[in-house]
Amino acid sequence: MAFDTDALIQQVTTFVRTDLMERADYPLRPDEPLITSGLLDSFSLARVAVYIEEELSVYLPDSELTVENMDTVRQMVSQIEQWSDKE
Amino acid sequence: MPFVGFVACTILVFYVVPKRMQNVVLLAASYSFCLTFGWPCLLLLVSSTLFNFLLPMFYSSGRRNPRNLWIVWLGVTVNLAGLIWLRWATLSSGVVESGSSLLTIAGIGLSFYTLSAIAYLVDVYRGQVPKVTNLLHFALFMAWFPKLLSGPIERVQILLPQLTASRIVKDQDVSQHLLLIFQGVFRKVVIANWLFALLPSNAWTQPEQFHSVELIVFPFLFAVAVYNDFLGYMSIMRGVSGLFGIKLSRNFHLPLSSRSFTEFWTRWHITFSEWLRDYVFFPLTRSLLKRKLPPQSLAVIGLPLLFTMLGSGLWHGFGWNFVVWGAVIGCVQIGERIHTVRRTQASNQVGSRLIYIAAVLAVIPAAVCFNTSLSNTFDYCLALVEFSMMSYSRNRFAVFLLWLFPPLLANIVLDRMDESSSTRFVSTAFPAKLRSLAISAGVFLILIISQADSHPAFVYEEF
Repeated sequence: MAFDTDALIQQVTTFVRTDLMERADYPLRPDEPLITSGLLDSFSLARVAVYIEEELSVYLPDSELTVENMDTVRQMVSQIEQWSDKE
Repeated sequence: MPFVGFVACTILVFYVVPKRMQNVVLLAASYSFCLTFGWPCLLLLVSSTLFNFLLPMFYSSGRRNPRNLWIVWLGVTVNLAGLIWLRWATLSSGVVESGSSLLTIAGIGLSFYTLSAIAYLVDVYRGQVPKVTNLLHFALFMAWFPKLLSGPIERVQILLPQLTASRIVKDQDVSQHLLLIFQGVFRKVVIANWLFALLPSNAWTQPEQFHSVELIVFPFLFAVAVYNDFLGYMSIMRGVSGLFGIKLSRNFHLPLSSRSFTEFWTRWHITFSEWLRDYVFFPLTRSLLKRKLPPQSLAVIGLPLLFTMLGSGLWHGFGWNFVVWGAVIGCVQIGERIHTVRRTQASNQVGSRLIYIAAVLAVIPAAVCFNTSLSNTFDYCLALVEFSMMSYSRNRFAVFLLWLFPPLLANIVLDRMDESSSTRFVSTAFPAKLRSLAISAGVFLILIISQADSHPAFVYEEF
């Protein structure tokens, strides 16, 4: 399954801003740290995983839901692309 | 000391035999090590190895195939049933007190390698790792002796590539691994044993014998002692494993400097915490979220955390004290999570401080529960809140604090060494071979001076 990376970044950014941070006007950058900076906590990764599974039909394994792998929107998108290839 | 001889002999044989025979030597050594605890222990390990090696062979092709779900559940159930049966039988026959019996012996290391096996079955089912087709490699993954007794709980994707690759251990690496062993021995023999010695044997069972200030200090003293005991064990085993070119996962990352309970559990017994996160907490949370429950509801926030920590408690032992231990820790984490999710700017500062104080206070019942029955824990907390100063002696407490200072200072220095480049500075000041010789001499010196064979066993061996 191939994704348009820019569109994917936009989609995930919108989800993070509106659903997780509840700050739709926040100027979130793709490389901005989310968890290590305290904008989100690591428990939010479960919500990211469920969103990706339901909206994009890509299953991210639980062991990949780590701060190292998913601290920025770009890293999240990279995980989506990596695991969509394995579907 | 016999363990030192065993490791030395294994290293000798390991480096003498051809490379293709090295894994056979390591497996033979691991089984010999297991055998020193008795035939039941080895029998259980071999049975578990064969079962978990063969089961994925019945998986059908295709990721997350529904037929495979039944097989993976069978595997998880059998593994957990073995663990539960042993825990239950141990509890009901009362051998926890006596310390040795057929069941205790058979169960040595079971809690650790069973979790590794479950992770393997689930990961193969999820398509995250390929099936292991070489029985020798899988048997070594399960039995590798430095991790057999108390972990770390390794995943197949981390350990197996190291077992199958050609291993080269340089002089520089040897001195680093010996330094790790030295630090581990020092933590166990000097710091942990010193702190345990300061803890009165009747601290948990006869709290009325002590004044409240002491009752506040004991749980924290116990926490630091267990930290050094377990980290000491881990350092020794990581060092020993490294001498064979196999790096074991790190299990601690300065947990005592955590700012919350949630952070503490990402730094303490890391491989176990990560196992719970990946195979209990995240699957439960995802399952609740998929049922369209509000993400900020108490059910989604609380249930997975509580269930995970109760599971953690029961893993440590069957008993109401461990249930309460898990519940206390779970509830504090739920409080921290609710605060994070629902905080507002105004309530932020006050709430953070209150949650932090609650987390620190929770250490007291948690540590007492970990050591004794519920009724004793209740008496302990009662004695503490009564704030009895009847047996208070300022001089006695001053002497106690004076004795507490050196091991705590040593603990801080070693923690800093772990994190800073000072270790590297110290270790590169001399040629690698000379360093190795000096560090080995240091290890022997500590063992001889402290009469290491007479020391109590590592705390986590009981689990």
